[in-house]
Amino acid sequence: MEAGSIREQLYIDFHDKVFSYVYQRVRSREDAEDLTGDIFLKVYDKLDTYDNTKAAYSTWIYQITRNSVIDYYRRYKMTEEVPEELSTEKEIDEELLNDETLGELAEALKSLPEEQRDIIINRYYHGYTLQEISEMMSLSYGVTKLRHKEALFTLRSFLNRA
Amino acid sequence: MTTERVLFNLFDFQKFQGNSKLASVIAEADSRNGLRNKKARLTEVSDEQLEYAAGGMSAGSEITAGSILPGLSGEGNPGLRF
Repeated sequence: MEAGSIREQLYIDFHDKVFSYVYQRVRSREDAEDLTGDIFLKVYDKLDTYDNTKAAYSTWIYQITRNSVIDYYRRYKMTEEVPEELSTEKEIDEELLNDETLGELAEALKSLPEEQRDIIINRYYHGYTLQEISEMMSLSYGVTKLRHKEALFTLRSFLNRA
Repeated sequence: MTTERVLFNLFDFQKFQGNSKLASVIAEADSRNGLRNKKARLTEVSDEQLEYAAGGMSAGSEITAGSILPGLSGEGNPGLRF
């Protein structure tokens, strides 16, 4: 496939995913549209360096998107810190970032008791602190911490297998 | 890399990838949280709010057809008619 067709296909396949992710992070439609445009320019610019033996297109584009959001925070959100769930380290384990691992994580979460599952989702997906979660779930802070620890212990074995 | 950092990364990737199985697990948890918060709000009604809602009626008060609960009536509020 020639470069022009690849670019077109990538835009069709990933535009909505990139925009949706960026919009969730920057909370401004205008900024999200600008940033999405910049991200696709970066993707096209780096297309020659893409190595399909290292990562799927989705993982590669996600990494570019994520790093662009971190840069956006550093540049424009001077009064806000980079969200905790966006590691300040830009490098992440590419091997873990694939659709199959997300499906396995879903199964691992299902194996947890509901209370533990909800704590993990509130902490790592929604980004609440354990104190906030304890209030939301009407649990004492001590119990929330304990359940969180138990859930991490169970998930650790899943992550070691993944 | 710690388990916590890996979970942050995986859940962040989910915001991009939108895996349907994981989305369904998250939606179920969110739904439970919504219910929990709703229950919490219901239990947080103050005595003043209850008195207002009851319109000053005591436990022995009778509500007959056509009566208006005073606490729910007033300027700009036609009240509830029974």
